[in-house]
Amino acid sequence: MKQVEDEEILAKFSVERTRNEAFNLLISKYQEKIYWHVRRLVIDHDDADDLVQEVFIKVWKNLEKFRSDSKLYTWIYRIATNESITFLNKKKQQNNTPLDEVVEELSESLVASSYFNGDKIQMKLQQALLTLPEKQRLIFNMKYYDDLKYDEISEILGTSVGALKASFHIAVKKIEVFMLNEDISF
Amino acid sequence: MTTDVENNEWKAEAPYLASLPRTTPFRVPEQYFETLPSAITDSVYTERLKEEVKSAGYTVPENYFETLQESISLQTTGGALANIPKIQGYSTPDNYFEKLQASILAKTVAETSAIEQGARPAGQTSAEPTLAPVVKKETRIVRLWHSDLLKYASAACFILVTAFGLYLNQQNYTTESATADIANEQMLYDIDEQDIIDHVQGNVIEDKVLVPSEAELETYILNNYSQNELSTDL
Repeated sequence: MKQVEDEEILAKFSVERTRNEAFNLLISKYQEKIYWHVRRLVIDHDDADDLVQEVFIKVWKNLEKFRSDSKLYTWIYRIATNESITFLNKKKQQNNTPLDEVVEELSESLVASSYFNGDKIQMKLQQALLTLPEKQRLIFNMKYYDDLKYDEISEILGTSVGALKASFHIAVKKIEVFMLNEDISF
Repeated sequence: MTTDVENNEWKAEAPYLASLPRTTPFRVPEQYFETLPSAITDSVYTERLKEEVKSAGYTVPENYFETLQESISLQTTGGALANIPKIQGYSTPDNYFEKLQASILAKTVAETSAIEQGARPAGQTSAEPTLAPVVKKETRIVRLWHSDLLKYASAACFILVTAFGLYLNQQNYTTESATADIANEQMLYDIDEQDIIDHVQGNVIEDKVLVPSEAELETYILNNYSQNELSTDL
């Protein structure tokens, strides 16, 4: 099925009569990408489900104000990223736990999750990702899984391309070391 | 092309990572992405509704929220009772309730089996169940007289008490008679002698019977009865 162009969605959304249709097209086009982006950050499916709905509510509310100086999907990614980071920060504040404990909690939910079907190596890769600082993890996910370009990630995160390249390089190195040195004990 | 180069340049630095399949190991529930659009549109609709209908239309009494906090704090922290821990103050021996249950059960089982054995018809073995359990409660007989000695001692006591009562009653009557005689004598002693003589003579006069003569009787009869009546009665 041919995906609708962003321009068409935006054009339809600007007309009152076709607004709902445009929004349905937008959901169909981006729901999976946004879900997986959020899911890789928050790990738990139910949390991801709630956040995806929040993201699209924000998209609905603010799409009228969207200016075409940035791409639609980078704009939606930015909303999703911000929502996910806010969620993780709230989790830290609510539990009043340091970052390493939050990482441990995420790691435990990864092991306990009934919606994980990877093998031991894939589990180890996810564990390695959880050892990264939040921003490095974000950059790695967008580069490794979503194949986004640096300038797109730069647009989403508001970080320079050079800083992104450095962060990604460091993240890759750390993961490679983790994967080769750490014992698999799951 | 730029993207490909950009996305592959790290592979030289991390060959092991590059050898792994780039798949997301997470799963989603079945039909999740089929139902997600409707879930999102429902959420969006609810959000729009909240924005359009700001107020729920309910009102509260004046100063309700000002007094609500006070009311809640009174109920939660106020009052001396709230500070008293909710413990009974009583205690039971260790494992009391565990033993109690077992004890009650043992007693009821023993009683039931005794009743069943008592109510079982002759010839019926214990293995055969009774059709209807007959609850035959044995009447407890309390003996009034525990021994003959007590019985006879009680009878003797009764006779003694009765005899003593009669004796006292008799003594009382004799005393009363003696007292009455003394009183009479004292009274006679106090009465003037002449009065007694007059009283006795008066009684003698009153006791005299007037005897009519034959002539007076004859006159009375002739005056009061007819000849016919006289001839009939005589």
